[in-house]
Amino acid sequence: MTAITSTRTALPARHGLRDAVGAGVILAVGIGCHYLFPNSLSFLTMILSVSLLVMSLDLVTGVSGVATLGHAVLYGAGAYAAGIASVNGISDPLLLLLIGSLAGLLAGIVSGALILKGHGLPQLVISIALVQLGYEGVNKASAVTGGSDGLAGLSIGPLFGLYQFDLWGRTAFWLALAIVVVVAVLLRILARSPFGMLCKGIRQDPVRVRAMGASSYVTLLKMYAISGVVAGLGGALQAVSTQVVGLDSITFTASAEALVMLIVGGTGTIFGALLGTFVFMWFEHAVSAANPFHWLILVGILLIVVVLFAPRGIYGLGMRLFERKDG
Amino acid sequence: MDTLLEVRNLTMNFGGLKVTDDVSLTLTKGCRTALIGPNGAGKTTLINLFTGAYRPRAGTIRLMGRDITGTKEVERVRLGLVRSFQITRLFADMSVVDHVALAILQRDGRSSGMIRSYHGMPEVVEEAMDALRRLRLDGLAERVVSRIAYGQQRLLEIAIALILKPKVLLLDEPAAGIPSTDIDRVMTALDDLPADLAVLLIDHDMDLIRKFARDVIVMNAGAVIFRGRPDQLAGDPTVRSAYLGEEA
Repeated sequence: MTAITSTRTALPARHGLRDAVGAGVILAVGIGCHYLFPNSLSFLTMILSVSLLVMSLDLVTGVSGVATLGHAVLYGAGAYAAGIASVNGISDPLLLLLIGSLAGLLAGIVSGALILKGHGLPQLVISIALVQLGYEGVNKASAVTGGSDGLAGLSIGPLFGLYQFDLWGRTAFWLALAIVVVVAVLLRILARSPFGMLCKGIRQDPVRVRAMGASSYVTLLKMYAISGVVAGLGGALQAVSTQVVGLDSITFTASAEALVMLIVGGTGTIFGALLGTFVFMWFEHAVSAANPFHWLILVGILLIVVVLFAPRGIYGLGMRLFERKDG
Repeated sequence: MDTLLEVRNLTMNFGGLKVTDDVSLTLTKGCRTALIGPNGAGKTTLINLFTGAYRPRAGTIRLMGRDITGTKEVERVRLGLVRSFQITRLFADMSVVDHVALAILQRDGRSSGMIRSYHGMPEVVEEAMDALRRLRLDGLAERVVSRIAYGQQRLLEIAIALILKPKVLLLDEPAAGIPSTDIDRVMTALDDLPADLAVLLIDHDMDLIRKFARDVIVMNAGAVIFRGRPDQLAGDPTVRSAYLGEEA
């Protein structure tokens, strides 16, 4: 009977409750980490920035079924736009985040328009080509981007004109936590909306969606644009909080890692993307500190265990256990 | 007689093979037309030409007097030309009511809404539940489609097609794969189709066709070889030779 009860979740009250619980958990974990690991705030802020990239990837891959190994191009667009703007005299952090989001939006529309022309493996190849082109472009345009040295020493003004970005990274951490909570809940709402349903439909059967009279290309392009805003915001957040922008933000490796984090956490739920980022980066951090020689082996083992025993990711596994208890 | 769909001299090739050979036909308001023919006769290709999935090599398609030969697939759906599929095409992890609600939102041009879920739109939920009730699927509304029986999935296909408020409905083997015990429910659903809807039904089941169709089109090798009442079929020599081979 668990099979039937687990399908009876389509109630709005339950959705709202889950969002509220999820937001509460994120805040509680964030506040807990702030007091338990006061010396790791910049690392925690990094996790939060990357989680925006992974949530953004969840929109196009987990929700809409577009295969991509080049999503960091959107994150990099946001990071470099904010970095370049900062070097050229803009210091207001919120304005820099806005600039990064807009750059992400633009990059999302352009890369979406190209990626969505392909399907399956060709789609994957286009996405890899885009991130490689982005990387090379940024590398070559060293006059603006700093090339392989990156942009360093960005001067960021105080948040709301009040809170300085201090050495301990407190301001950056609270800003990042607030952004992540708000974005996660908004994206959950988006995924449930008629538009989100249409994207989920396209993932499962684009022919059926077209037979309903909806254009899959236009719908997915819109989703790509939104995804670009979120990833660009993440990149800009990283630029603002670390005051450094480097080529590593726009690599194929970063894109592939984002996909791994998404799968570890669970696709299509947004919260899963966040959880996956947290677990993966934390595990990598802890294991590489404990065993600098063999840590990659342990990371590999973690991935295999998750994929074998929790094919729907850690979040999917958790929800299943929760619902079983519930029913 | 109001003509809804009018097709003239439609021709289509796959390489050297003529899969649609100079087909002309009309579907009028309220028609109940069956399209039959041996395997490979070009029935599904013809449907794909009607819906815009394929482009014809020559010929014109008019819907309610408007030339739609070059119109995009999704636009034709919005104009009222709707199809169902021979193989069930549903969203495996969505619930039954999700499917119908999404079709309603799409029909009403509300599917780009990014904030409010349809659960908060009582008129959508109500209309979706009404549609399901008519096909006796309301008890399964919250069930994920991969967990309902095949026959019920076929009925849901019909529910989705109908909720789009088509003027012309193309049903591609709606009863395919349904156990004979459930076939009555499909029959009832077909009987209850709106009276002024033009319906073109592809099927092999002669029982179903005799009960449902008021006229029959027979295709063979891409061409229409017969159009008439179902009871005229058996006596027609061209139809017989198409099904039994030339020597018969």
